[in-house]
Parts: sequence; structure tokens; C-alpha cells
Amino acid sequence: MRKAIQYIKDLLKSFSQALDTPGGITRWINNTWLDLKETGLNWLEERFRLRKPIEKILDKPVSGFERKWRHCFGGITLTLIGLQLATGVFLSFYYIPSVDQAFESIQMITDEVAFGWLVRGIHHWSAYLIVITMLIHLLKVFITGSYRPPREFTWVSGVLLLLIVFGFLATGYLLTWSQQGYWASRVAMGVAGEVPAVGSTILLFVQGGYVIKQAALTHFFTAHVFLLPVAVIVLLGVHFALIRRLGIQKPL
Amino acid sequence: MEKEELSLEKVKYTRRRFFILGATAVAGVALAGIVGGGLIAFFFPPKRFRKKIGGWQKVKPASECPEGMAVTSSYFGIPVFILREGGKVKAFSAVCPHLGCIVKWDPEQKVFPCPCHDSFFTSQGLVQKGPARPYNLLPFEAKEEEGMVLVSLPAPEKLKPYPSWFRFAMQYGG
Repeated sequence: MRKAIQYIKDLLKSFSQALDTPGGITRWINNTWLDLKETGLNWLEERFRLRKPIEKILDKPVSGFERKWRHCFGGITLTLIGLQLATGVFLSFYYIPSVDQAFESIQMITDEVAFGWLVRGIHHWSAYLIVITMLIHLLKVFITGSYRPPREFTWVSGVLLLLIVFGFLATGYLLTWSQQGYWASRVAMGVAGEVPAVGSTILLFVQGGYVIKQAALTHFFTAHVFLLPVAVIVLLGVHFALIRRLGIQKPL
Repeated sequence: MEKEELSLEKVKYTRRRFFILGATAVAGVALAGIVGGGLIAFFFPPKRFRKKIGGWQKVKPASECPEGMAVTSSYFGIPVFILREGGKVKAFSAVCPHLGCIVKWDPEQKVFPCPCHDSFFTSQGLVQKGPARPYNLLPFEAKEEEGMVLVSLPAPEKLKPYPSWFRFAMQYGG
């Protein structure tokens, strides 16, 4: 406590001195900021010992060839996925996964909840944007041949991520319980049901019944909100770990 | 003290060791089977949600089915049309075999148009035009008893030509 009072006294003293010197204020603010930053960082370092690992993660030189716009689409996709996770959590505060109330609860989010229209709009539009940015990212990797050894598994994890995003789209579409989403799911599940021999088993497993009813909505909700997010986070971890270990491919 | 080297060749392959390994393997496989089987079973809905429907059901008082008109009713959640022609009652599933929309009854032209993709069915349930071809409306069995109209799902052979999703909807209810 005494230390802190002494520190504030010194600070005020140096401030009054700075007032008398030309250009002193700017220098005082700068010095104080650096001082506070150092003190704070030292406090954190004493308690968590994280400086070294964080430096190791962040201090990565980026060479010139990587600083091109065409390398941005993976990062844009990641940002959008983060946006989806955040807005998805917000929506789940009001959404009700029941055939009687799903549509109404979404209308409530859109029309009544403060900024609900914005949250739902972001969730809706970035869902479409993710597909576009992901496909551009995939095309870039394909055209530049970046999938070649030793980076095959970065490519494989990326393709799996694309499939998971398709899973998100397919399950999220039904959750609105609107005519559009309902009939789109009916058609998609009709295709799945036509698979020879195991079609009906697939239907039972995926939608919890032979036709789309409450069980299907619950199944799709669980997949959309619990299973797929976990899968996407794990696979993103693999994807980025591989990128960090193997680096980005040099241009041909 | 010298370190003892552990290598696979040095481990004596005794009868006791063989027994322990074997017992562990058998127990492991059995446990995996029980847990795995239970896990798979968990993800399939209970039997009562997978029961096939069928049999005669009273769906409408006969007095509510006028001559030359089709009226809607429901058979285990499946929407059906009951049509009286020449005094006799007939019944059709109202589910369009194209994609599953519910067809309407046009009382002036005596046809069943589908509002979704413009398929047309005659009052006999035969498809006239549209993407529902070649499937007709599924005819249900219908009869009159004690002033009530009863309908029943047709024999399984009648369902055979239809696509899987349609068969599922008819066999397990709408």
C-alpha cells in the first residue's frame, strides 16, 4: 500500500516537472505508459510464466511472398466462423427447438429482441459468406498446388472442415422450421432415404424417425449446436497446428 | 547395479502369461461389444416410434361426404381425400408423390391440383401432368359402415412402385 502511494506521489511530482518543460507532457505520457505496461507485464509474468510460450507463438517472421491478398481467405473464413460461434450462442438464448415454437421464437428474435435482427442477420449472411470464402481459399490452395507433400493433411483437414460447414448449413436450414427449410430438408432426407439397403436406417439415425417431425428437429438442433461446433473447433486446431509446423508453401 | 534389459525375446512365454493375455483380450472385446452395441442402440428411437400403421379406421361421418365432392380427413396423421361418386366412397392419400405437398380439390373441374409444382390428378387419382409423373395418388381402401366412412392403407404391393420417402410416410404415418 505504502509502495503504491509512493508511486502516485512520484508520478504527480514528475508530472508537475513535465508541465514546466517544453514537450514534457508528451514524453511524460509515453514514459508513464511504458512504465505501467512493464509493471503490469512483470506482475503477470511472475504469476503465470507465460512470456516465453507467448513470444514463441507470436514471434514468427512473415516473409514477403506471404503478404499477398490471396493468402487472406483462410483468415477471413476463420473470422467468420468465430462470428458464427458468437452469434450462435446469442441466438440460443431465445431459440426454442420445438415444432410448435421454433418459427415463433425466431420471429421474436428478429422483431422484438434488442438487436436480435442484427444478430440473426449476421448469423444468416456470414453462413453464406463462409462458403464463398472457403471455396476461394480452397481454389487458391488447389491452383498453387499447396496441398502437395508434406502438406497433404493440412488439405485433408481443410476438406473435412468444408464438409462440416455443409453439415452446419444442412442442419441450420431446418431449425427455422419455415416452409423453405422444411421442404429443403424433406428433399435432402428423401435422397438419403433412397440409398439401397441402408436408406431407412440412415433416416432413423439422422432424423430419429422415417419422416421429418419433432425428433428430426431435435436431432438437427443437437448436431448444429453441440456436435458440429466441437468438430469444427478440433479440426481448426489441427489445421492451424499443421500450418504452424509446416509453414506456408513457397510460390512455385 | 546393472540395468536389466527388457526385450520381447527375453520375456518368457509361459502358460500363465498366455492365459492372462487371452483372458484380457476376451474381456476387452466383450466390454467393447457391450458398450458399442449399447451406444449404437441408444441412437435409434424406441420401437413405438417405428411401428407400422394399418387397419380400418373411422375417419368421417358418411353424412359429411356429399356426392361428387372430395372432403379431407386424416388417417394416422396422413391427410386423405374421401370422394363419393355414384354413391360409393373412394379414398386417396392427399400427399403428392412428387415431393410430398398436400394436393387441393378443385370442385369445379373435379381434379386434384398440387399447389407446389403444378401436377394434376383426375378424380380417379391418375396423374395428368406435372413432375409427379409417373406416380398416381395412392388409392386407399374405403367403405361405409353404420353411417361412418372407414379407410385403410392399401396392401403393401400397392406401395411398391413409389419412392422410398413416400413409402415411409405411408407406412409409418404422417
